[in-house]
Amino acid sequence: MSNIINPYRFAGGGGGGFSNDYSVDFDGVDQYCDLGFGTPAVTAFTWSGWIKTTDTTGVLVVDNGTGYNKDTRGGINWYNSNWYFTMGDGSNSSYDYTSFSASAILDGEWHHVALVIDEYDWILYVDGGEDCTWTATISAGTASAKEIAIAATSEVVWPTDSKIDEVAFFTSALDSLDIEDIYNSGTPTDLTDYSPYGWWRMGDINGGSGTTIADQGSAGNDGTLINSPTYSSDVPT
Amino acid sequence: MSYVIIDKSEISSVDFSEVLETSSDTLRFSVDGEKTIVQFKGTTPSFLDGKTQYSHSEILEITSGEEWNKQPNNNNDI
Repeated sequence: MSNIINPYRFAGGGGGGFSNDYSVDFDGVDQYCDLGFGTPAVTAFTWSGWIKTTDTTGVLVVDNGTGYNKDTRGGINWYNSNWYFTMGDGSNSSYDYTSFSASAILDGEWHHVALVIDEYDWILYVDGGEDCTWTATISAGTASAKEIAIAATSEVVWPTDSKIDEVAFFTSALDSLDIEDIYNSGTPTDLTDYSPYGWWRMGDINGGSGTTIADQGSAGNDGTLINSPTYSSDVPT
Repeated sequence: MSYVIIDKSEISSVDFSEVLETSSDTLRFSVDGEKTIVQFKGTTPSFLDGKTQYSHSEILEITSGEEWNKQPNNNNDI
């Protein structure tokens, strides 16, 4: 174990301007947030987000519109209390929805989940620590035609009774220390220094009103709340 | 909040200004595509008069079954 401090790492925090006051409460019946874009053609990427749920089948964020495996490019979702890993290329898919328990996040408390995909290799983190790994037989890198959504698929499959906060997408495979920093002992932190491609603050930019979830990442893919989910002051702390 | 299950054929009678669903394009359908759900607050919209209303916990119980909860679709399963 090394105690050497990497001078190129950073602690986040955003110089004191960061605050997190809102999450979005989804009813698990038909509410979700449509992000309006598909997973880009990158071979390595990372999803990060916070969720509070007991729903045994659900979605934190995924591009799997209709639920067909071949349509997704990887996201954070689970089925019958197991992580649902799927990488498709539009014609075929590699998937596993029976091998890895998702029970660590299904206790009704806030949890941070990060999914790091680097070509064929997947690592899923819960609360800053590695939860499981998986090797797909199809590599990331094919763009998705399906729009990414939070709390359900964009065609309202697997809507999730949950509160969700601070969802982010990075077009690189963050390492375990990055994930630990983002978890930040259970309190969301400023992600600006990680240069997110997409970062949806779930109410903090618009004061907890309206239906637009402004993208604070570089790509400008604002989300739209669909079917009237509500803002909540219940946030991870 | 009250939830009502309606048939697909009844969607044309829904006034989306009186329910919380955004539009007919954002409805959730049963796996067979024949039923959907709308929700409202307060007074029952006239086009839902006489229909069974469910609480949040009741509708979650209904939609947790296979009729509403889509199974994973495997490779090339279209």
